[in-house]
Amino acid sequence: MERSRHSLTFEQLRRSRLWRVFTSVPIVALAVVLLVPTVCFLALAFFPSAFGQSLSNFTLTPFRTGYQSYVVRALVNSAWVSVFVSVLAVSIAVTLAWLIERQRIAGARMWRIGVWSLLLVPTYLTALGMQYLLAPSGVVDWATHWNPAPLSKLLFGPAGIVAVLTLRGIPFAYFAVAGVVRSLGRSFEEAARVHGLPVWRRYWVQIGSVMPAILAGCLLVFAESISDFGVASTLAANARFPIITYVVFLFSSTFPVNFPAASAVSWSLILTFAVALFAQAKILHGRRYDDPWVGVRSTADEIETGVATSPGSLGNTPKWRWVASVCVGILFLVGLVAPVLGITVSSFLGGASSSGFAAVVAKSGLSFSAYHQVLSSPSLLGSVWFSLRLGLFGASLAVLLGLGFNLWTQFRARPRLASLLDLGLTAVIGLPSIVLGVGFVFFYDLPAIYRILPVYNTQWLLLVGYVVGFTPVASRLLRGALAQAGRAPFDAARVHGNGALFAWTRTILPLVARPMVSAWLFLVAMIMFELPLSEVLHPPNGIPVAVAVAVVLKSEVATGTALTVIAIGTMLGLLGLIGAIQAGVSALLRGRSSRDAIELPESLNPVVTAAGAVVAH
Amino acid sequence: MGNVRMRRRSYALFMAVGLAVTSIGVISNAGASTTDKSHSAKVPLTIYAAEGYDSTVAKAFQAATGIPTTVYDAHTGIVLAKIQAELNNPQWGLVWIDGDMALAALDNQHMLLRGFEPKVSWTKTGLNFVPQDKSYIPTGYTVAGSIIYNSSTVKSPPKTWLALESKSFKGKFGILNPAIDGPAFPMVAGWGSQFGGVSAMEKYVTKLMANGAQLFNAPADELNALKQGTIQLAIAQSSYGIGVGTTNPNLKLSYPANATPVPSVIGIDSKTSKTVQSEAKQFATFVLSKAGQHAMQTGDPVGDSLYWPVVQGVTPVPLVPSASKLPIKELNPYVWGPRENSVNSWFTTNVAVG
Repeated sequence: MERSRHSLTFEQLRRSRLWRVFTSVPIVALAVVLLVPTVCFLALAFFPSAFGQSLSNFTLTPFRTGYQSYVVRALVNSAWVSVFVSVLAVSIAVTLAWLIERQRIAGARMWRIGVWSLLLVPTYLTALGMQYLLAPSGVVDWATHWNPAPLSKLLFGPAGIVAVLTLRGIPFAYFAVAGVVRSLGRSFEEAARVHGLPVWRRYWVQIGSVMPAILAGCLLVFAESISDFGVASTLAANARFPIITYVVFLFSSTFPVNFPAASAVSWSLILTFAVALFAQAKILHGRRYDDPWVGVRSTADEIETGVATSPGSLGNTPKWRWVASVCVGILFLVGLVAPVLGITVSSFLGGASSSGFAAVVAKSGLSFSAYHQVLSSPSLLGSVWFSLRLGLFGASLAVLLGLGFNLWTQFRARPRLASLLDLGLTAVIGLPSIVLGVGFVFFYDLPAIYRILPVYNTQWLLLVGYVVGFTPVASRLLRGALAQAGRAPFDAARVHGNGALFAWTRTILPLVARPMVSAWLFLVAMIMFELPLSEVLHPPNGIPVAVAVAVVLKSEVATGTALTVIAIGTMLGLLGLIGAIQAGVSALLRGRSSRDAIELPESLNPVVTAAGAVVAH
Repeated sequence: MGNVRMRRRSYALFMAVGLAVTSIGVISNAGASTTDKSHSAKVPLTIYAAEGYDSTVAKAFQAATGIPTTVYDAHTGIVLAKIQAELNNPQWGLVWIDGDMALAALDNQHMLLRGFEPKVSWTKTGLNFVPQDKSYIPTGYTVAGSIIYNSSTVKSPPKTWLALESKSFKGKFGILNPAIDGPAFPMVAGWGSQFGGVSAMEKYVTKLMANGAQLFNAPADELNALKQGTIQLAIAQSSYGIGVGTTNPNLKLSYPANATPVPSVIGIDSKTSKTVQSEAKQFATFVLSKAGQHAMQTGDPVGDSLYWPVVQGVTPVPLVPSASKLPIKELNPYVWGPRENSVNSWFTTNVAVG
């Protein structure tokens, strides 16, 4: 009797508001810790004296000094480039998703891996690869004796900037729409046919029905483009085409340093991103996009056999599928193969102490000496291991935090608080890494913070920086999988008397394990090649590979590109290893080792499906 | 159905164990390095530097003295920005960059320890670089504005800076952004000093841009453009010019009249502890010793090691020509240093993004 009264009291407590607040404290505290450095940096525009940058307590001067005419021009440039890139990338991504996920054109599986690979190549590497390829004495000139000067000129201008950012945006948009496009039912198409609409209108009706996912993709691409620093520091800087992230860099990393002005300019990014979020909400508000014929959604088998698309559809003829496949192949040739080829061939065009282009000028042959130089330099090789270590650890933490945040919003959080924190974390994606980095410098070097937490100038701060920068991405990637898994199995397990942790690990975890691994691999790759945050936060005596590449490229192009190739190879090796382990485990469990071994790329599928469902939220 | 669930559970368990093992491995590995540091008896000396040879010299210093030394190496702009960001709580003990003007500006903010001069025999030029208040220490020098040209296409390189305004060089040369490349500011300041002030320098740079000058953020980008044939002449620091000449015999170097020398200089943090200041003084003294100069000359063989020494008894590396033939004109860093902010701001607004 005594015991049941006690358990009743505990149950009441568990259901009370106090309990909810109590259990929310850790996640809110965590979110605050993640966001505070950024908030600190943004506060710098108003209170520079708090960070030793001025004598004024409260001032608006940084806004006056920051917003000069060229800064406004840079903001306008960034806005139109990002909007244009969003529309372009989403258009290409929807087409790709339609062809790959729905019509299963020839080589669909390979193209899906291609989309994933696009995500692994940071914009600065794409820009460098293109640059080396098209330079007057570059790889194309070396191989064909044709000087691609007009193309090179195009690359160093708005066209090149849009092209590289679009290539980066395509996978983000693809992940946003692929799942929805794949499971789109026939109802809209059939309704359109019944009403006698022409083919293009029929497609348009179906595309309209996936508008939430398209807008979510646009928002993600917009956030990625407006906060990108890779293109800003390479193509845009050399083209004298100012964009806002480069202006933030100029204020925060060049002489004269003006951190308050950098902070003031960063506010414009927040506002721009807020406008984009508002626009998305406004477009979706009050409209219904759900399929009334829920029971007639396409199944995988239908897609496989082509039943999901109607007989009169253009995409049903084998000839068209091959044409589409060739077009997709050309896209990947330009967007993926060309820059990687540019970097790889350039790494073979140099002597031990020379740069790639010096060798090209001299018309010498291919050489492994740049690789020899990298392999014989402990500091260069050490940078690959250093970044891989940080990538493994940082991605693990980011995935765990992203998972924790999602579980909290799914099981515990008040909707408004959850939305607010989600908005804050999404805003982190829209902020340039350099803003995050400088925010970290200011926050963790504050005497009061440093005394309690002396991580400044250590690898731990760099790690925390990566975790903060990539937890929002992990959170977004995992949300779809968790939403698809739902909480019904968990509740069922609880009803049968299992504890919360046990119930979750037995019912939900098995369903989300693959998406977790995919998200983890993706984040390892992102962290390994992250440049701006690494440049600002790397500790003395610890150089991440992206910084090492940037330093070496200054004097020895071939060695720099060889180091890049080795880093990419390491990442691909990790992908292969995890994929092989996954395939091996699956084979062991299913007893079908030979067939599963070639299903490795399917391990990447969950992240596509998951991300698609997530961003559509 | 049961098999599927079993497989999924096993898979999840496997991945969870994998993640845990990975994390523990990484943590223990990372922890090991920090533990080693904490057991060290001496105070670590943290160097913020933008020199190609900084890590080599730091290693030699640590080997010679046993003082644990760590180097944060980045380009000059980032190093100075980091110092500025740490105004509330400086973490550096010593800064080592090319450019006495930047350190003169830090000295004006009372950020440098004054009154220390290593007991060495300076060369005549070296002595000129030692400031009156002894707030920084020169360790070598290069020429800020030399002209690197492709001798296969340019038969007669410009002998004066004004020659770059002529049509024969239209669209054929590159200059560096002084807001980003530290040693480029002394070059720009040299133009100001030679032509009669800041506004004359601004007019000259405007004319250069009108004559098709291409602006680069870093010497590497500029030299790549030279090698690729995008430009025929690159105005850059002499060490880059000498270095690139070793990789391509067609690339040669010339020094126009009144070229500005730029010393590599060491500054010691005035706010750091006495122990760190003492170690920093030992470091500066070591750098000017034979062992330190040897480390400087071998640390970056085709880059920053190609400098002229400032202490007697040390000869430059064989690739470096005799200093007696250089048509250099020194500038007063305490006159031009304080102008760096306004000149670079003008450059950013009107040239870099204008």
